[in-house]
This record gives sequence, structure tokens and C-alpha cells, in this order.
Amino acid sequence: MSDSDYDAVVIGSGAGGGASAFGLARAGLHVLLLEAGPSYDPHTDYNLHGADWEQRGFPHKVEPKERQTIAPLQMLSQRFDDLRSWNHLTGRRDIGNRREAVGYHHVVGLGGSTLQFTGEAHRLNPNSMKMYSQFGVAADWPFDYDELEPFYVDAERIIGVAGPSDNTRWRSRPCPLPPHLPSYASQRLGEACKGLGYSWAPNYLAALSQPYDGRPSCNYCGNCARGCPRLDKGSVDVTFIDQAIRSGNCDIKTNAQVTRLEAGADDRIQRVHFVSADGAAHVVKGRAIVIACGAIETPRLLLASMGTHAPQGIGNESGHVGKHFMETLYWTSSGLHPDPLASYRGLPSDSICWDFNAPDAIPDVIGGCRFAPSVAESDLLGPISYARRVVGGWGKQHKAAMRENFGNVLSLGAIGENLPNKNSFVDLDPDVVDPNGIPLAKIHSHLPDHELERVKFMAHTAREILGAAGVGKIFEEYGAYDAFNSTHVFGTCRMGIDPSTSVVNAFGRSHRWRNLFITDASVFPSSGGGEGPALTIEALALRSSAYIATLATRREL
Amino acid sequence: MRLGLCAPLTAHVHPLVAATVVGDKNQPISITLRAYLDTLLPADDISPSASTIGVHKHLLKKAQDDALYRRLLLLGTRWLEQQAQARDPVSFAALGEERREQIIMLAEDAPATALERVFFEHTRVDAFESYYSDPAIWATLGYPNAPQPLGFVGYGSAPRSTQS
Ligand SMILES: Cc1cc2nc3c(=O)[nH]c(=O)nc-3n(C[C@H](O)[C@H](O)[C@H](O)COP(=O)(O)OP(=O)(O)OC[C@H]3O[C@@H](n4cnc5c(N)ncnc54)[C@H](O)[C@@H]3O)c2cc1C
Ligand code: SF4
Repeated sequence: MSDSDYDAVVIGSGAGGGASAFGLARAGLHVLLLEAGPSYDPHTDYNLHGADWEQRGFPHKVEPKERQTIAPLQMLSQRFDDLRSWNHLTGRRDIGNRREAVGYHHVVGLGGSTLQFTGEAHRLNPNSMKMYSQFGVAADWPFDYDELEPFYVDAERIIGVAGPSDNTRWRSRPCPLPPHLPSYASQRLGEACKGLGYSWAPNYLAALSQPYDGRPSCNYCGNCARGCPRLDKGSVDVTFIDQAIRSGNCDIKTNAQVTRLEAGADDRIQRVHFVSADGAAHVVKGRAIVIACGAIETPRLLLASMGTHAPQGIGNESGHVGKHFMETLYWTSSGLHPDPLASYRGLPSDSICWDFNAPDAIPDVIGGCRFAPSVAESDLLGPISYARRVVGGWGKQHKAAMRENFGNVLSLGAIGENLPNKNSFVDLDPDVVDPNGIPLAKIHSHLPDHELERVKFMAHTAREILGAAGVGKIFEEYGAYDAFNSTHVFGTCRMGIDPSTSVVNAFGRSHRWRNLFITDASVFPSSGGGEGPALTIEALALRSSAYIATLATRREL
Repeated sequence: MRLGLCAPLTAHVHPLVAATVVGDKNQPISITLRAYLDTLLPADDISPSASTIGVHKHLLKKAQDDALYRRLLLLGTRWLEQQAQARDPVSFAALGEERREQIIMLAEDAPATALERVFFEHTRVDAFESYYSDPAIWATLGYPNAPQPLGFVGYGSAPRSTQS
């Protein structure tokens, strides 16, 4: 550490940054983790104990919505009217004829978006990593699944993932913890799937089915998206970051917004500039610089760091920074079951149907999807949401209907592959800057017809399964067709072998900048068939960290 | 799916002020509001009315902190009194349940930008939020407790009867 303050400076502390900080600190490197947001105390910040719990969402301390802009979205066409969002009380989503920009959902805080995530801990379908060579779409991952598998095992062990241990999802070792028992409501969906000839299995979850590593097991409150006050949900703060701190090798600075990377003439990043909460500007040096700001903010930081040595932005020699943006392609249908289910109980997405997850599993459409219960994701967990969205009305009839129907909602959600296209990308907004004068990221999103055909399949199958489960009438549906509303974002700093078509190599290292690495979802060459990305991001980050540690040992950074 | 409060209020209240102040019959706002909320959420054999568990206090508290909302309650309750007293000098609170319901239906069916409709939409949602945040009401729905600290063990089995 002759010329640097740290062996590695990690920027961003979500799935990618948290796992990177841990992987590097575990290897004995002296790490600084810089996070733009504050830390959260699960015991005091997440209020699921009070009578007003339902009125509180995730307690964002930094409003995430104002941190990006979204370019005007596509016009809607009558052809896909069946995919418009609607509710039986309020009617069709009242947005006119243009797709609505609802937003990029994420958390600015220590632990990033995993603080709010549902906790699905998925391995990617190996076939989804070869989309170009198999189907001529997206790009191939520059290595095979087998190379990532040991890092999946490592990440699952650190988190305490619970799930089935059979080999249906390409595993070399059993899951660390046994699967959770599906909720009573999810069992109804399972029976429906069985009747239709579909499979239905316990989901892989970053939620403890037994006490693990000093954390208690889940008590099935269903509210992971409001933040888990028990600490059993495997968000990055209570797993990777906690262990990084325990290693004694990781310093953390919260409320530290990185504003610029300073490039040198020697193809190295010389310094990292950041601003602390009091507005003071700081500079720090690292032998390795690891960026993990998420697939929207990472390209923004690289593009905004343009300068003499990097006139197009750092890492953008190929012109691919910000390109190939992939979003969350989703669909959810909700209906009332005739029997009491108390469907507010249990873990969100506790079961899953993988039958259509392979890239060629949907007839006539390339790219897969998967189905899971989504009462929690739809926020249909408490009486207020029933009063407003399910039952409606007022007076004695309303009250009787509330008693009749409360707890009976059954929802099924689908998430599918999103293939990159030239109209979906992230660039810098020429008109809007943040308080530090840095242009905001501008999201451009477009869903071509083949994406909508996939959503169509997702919608039809969700309705089919709900119908088979005994749901007579669906009362609400929403999906990606008429709303950009993303929780999973990827692709904007694609990894690949060819420096002219990608930003980083197979280890997340910039093709040009020798000490620059990217370890978040921006490196995905394809999105997968609806799998939650967090576990794959973490496995990739552990893999990159091991590589960086080897380079550090060999003095090749 | 949540209704945004500020935009509709700013957009719709001011133009209607002059037209609605005229009908004031000096009925204290809290009495009219209670009667209105108890028509939206009346007592029945199983659960109490809105005012029994203090829903009106919740709305009045909100009005204390928010001038625009205060104005909305004032104008909305005046509108209710105007309707009530259009035929005979009987206050809204003194009307029979059926007549109160008829008046509220007028508000519910009014154009989206009409004062009475804006008043109805906002206060109904606020009444729901207050009423259904009360553990006593949860019990009547079979909802046992806030999500934490107990969680929902036994979640894999059929729920117990909801109407005990
Ligand atoms: C409601 C919700 C539910 C989800 N459910 C699941 C699920 O069940 N399973 C799953 O796999 N995935 C889920 N996800 C997605 C998952 O959380 C993300 O894919 C994952 O966290 C992305 O990791 P990341 O490291 O790329 O970015 P993030 O986790 O978003 O972390 C980026 C971090 O970088 C920080 N940062 C940004 N810019 C700067 C800067 N300039 N300087 C310093 N710090 C900066 C941010 O504040 C943030 O903390 C969910 C997401 C949401 C919002
Ligand atoms: S369901 Fe389990 S993991 Fe999720 S918030 Fe509740 S206790 Fe935590």
C-alpha cells in the first residue's frame, strides 16, 4: 500500500458492493466501502409492530425517486389492450395512451436495494447465459455456469439460503437450510398447478428457516418489502457487510456520494472523489476501484467522469456504457378465493413454478419466465388495502364484505426475461443535475412486441392458474406493458470477451482501466428468465473479488 | 394505487370556495363529520361505528396540521348541511340513516372535480386508514396482530374461523 490509501475502494454497498467488500476483506485486503446513503437499524427503522404498520412503506431516508429521470415512454396500442393495468373499483389505469414512468425502485442506504428486497435467492438458468449463441439475441456470458457455481455455494452459505436441495437448479451442494413450508394460500396455487400439469416447488429464499449465524428464523410476517426487523432476511447489511466489518479489514463511510473517478494517463483510476453529508469534498486512492452503484447509477458515474484521458467517459471506449439496458418484465393478477385463506401469512413468493424459465420454454417466444405467489408484492396484506382495492364501497355492506373477504386474496405474479434493444439505454440527462452539479441518469425504456408477447403469455398463464385455484373473478391486474416500474435492472456495462462490444471482461475488469472493476447488475449480458438477480450479483462479486485478491498478491493491479 | 392528496385539493378547492360558503348553517363541523363518518362506517352487530373508535378525531387532527385539508373538511361538511337542510331545517346529523346515505351517494356520483366528490374520495380513504388501523377492528376481521413481533406462525394451515 505504498501509493494508496486502501487496497480497494468499493463504491456502492448493495448486493454487488456488499459482497465485494466482504470478498476482498476476507482475502485480507484493506477495503473502504463508500455508500451514498445512510445506514439502517433494523430494530428501530422498520416498524411492523405498530397499529399503523400498513400505512408505512419501506422507510426510505433518501427519496430514491428524485435521483433519476425517465425519458417519455412508448405509445400504447390497442393490440395489447388486454395487458393494460386495471382494478375493478378504479377501472383501467388512467394514463392516456402513453406508457407511464412509475419508477426505478431501489434503496439508497448501506445494503442497497437488498434492504427492501423480497429475498428470492435464485441461481440463473445456465441456458439463459448463452442467449446469443443459442438464439441470436442479447449476448453470451463470457464463461459457463460451472465457473460461477462455487461462488453461488459460497454466497448461499454466507446468507443462509433456504430451499430445496434436489438438483433441479444445478447445484453441487445442498442448500444451507431446509426449505420453508409454503403458506396455506400458496398450497392452493400448488394444487392448481398440479391439476394443470405444472410443477410447483418451494422457492429459494434469503430468509432463515432455522436460526443461523446468530440470526433468528423467520416468523412469517410477510412484510420483507417494508424491511425485516428480525434480521433473518439475508439483506447485505446483516450478512456480507456484517461479516466484512467483523473481519477487521473493512472501513465504511455512509452518506458518501461518489461524484467522480479521476483517470490517469497510465490507464489507471488515480482517485475517487466523494462528497460527505456535510457537503465537504474528499478524495481517496485505492489500488483497486470497484464500482457497484447499480445498473443505473454505475453508467452514470462512468459517463459523468469523462475527462482528458477518457473523453467519452471512463470505461466507455467501446461506446457500450449505458447501452443494453434491461428492466423488470412483470405481470400480476389478483382475485378472491371463495374460502378463507388468511393469505397475509407466510413469506412472500414462498413457492415457484419454474416450468417456463428456460429461454425456449414459452411457445413462439424467446426468453423464459417464472410464476410465484404475489400477495405481498401486491401489498394486499392488510385491511386498509382490502378496503381500498378489494372491497370498496362504504356503509353496512362494505363492512360485511370486509368480513367476508378479508384474507381471501390470491395473487400470482410472473417475471420474465427482458432482452436488450437499442431503444432501452441509460445516459446523462442534459437538463437535470444533482446538488453536486452532476447530471442525473436518464432512463430510456422501450418494450418491443416480442417482449409484449412474453408478457401476454405471463398474463394468460397467471389467469389460468388462478382460475384453476378456484378464483372466480380477478379484481386487479398490473404489468410492465403500461408502466415502467422496475426493481430488477441490468446490462448497462455488459461483460464480454470482445473489448469492442463490451465494457468489462469476464471478471468485471475494465478492458482498458487496469484497476477498475464493476460488480453489480450492470455487467449482466442477459437478464435470465425472471430469476431474482441478487444471488447472481453476489456470486459474481465474490468471483471478481477472488480475482482481484489474486492480482493484488501478484502485484498486478 | 394510492390517491395523491395534494394535487387534487389544490386543483379543485379554491374555485369552489365562493360558491359553497353561502350554505353555512352554523352546524359545528365535528358533529356533521361524525355523522358523516358513521354513515360511511356505521355500527353493526359485530363492530363499532367510526366515531366510537375516534376516526373523526384522526381527521380533525389531520386538519389541524394541514390548512388545505381543514378547508376541505369545512366546505365538505357545509355541503352536507346544505343538502340536509335544503328541504327542512334539519341538520345532517339529525337525519335518518337512509337520507344521510342518499346525500352521500350524491357526493359519490358527482363529477370527479366537484367539491363534494373530492371531499368524499379523500375522507373515505382517510376513514378507512384510521378505522382499519385499529386492532379492535382487526379482531372482527380475523386479523390477529400487527406483523411483528409475533409474525404468523401456523401460516401453513387453514385459518381459524374469522367471526369468533
Ligand atoms: C422491492 C424490491 C424487491 C426485490 N426483490 C428481489 C428478490 O426477491 N430477489 C432478488 O434477487 N432481487 C430482488 N430485488 C432486486 C435486488 O435488490 C437488486 O437487483 C440488487 O440489490 C441490485 O444490486 P446492485 O448492487 O446492482 O444495486 P443496489 O443494491 O441498488 O445497490 C447500489 C448501491 O449503490 C449506492 N450508490 C449509488 N450511486 C452511488 C454513488 N455515486 N456513490 C456511492 N454510492 C452509490 C446506492 O445508494 C446503493 O446503496 C428487489 C428489489 C426491490 C427494490
Ligand atoms: S417474512 Fe420473515 S424475512 Fe420477511 S420480514 Fe417477516 S420475519 Fe423477516
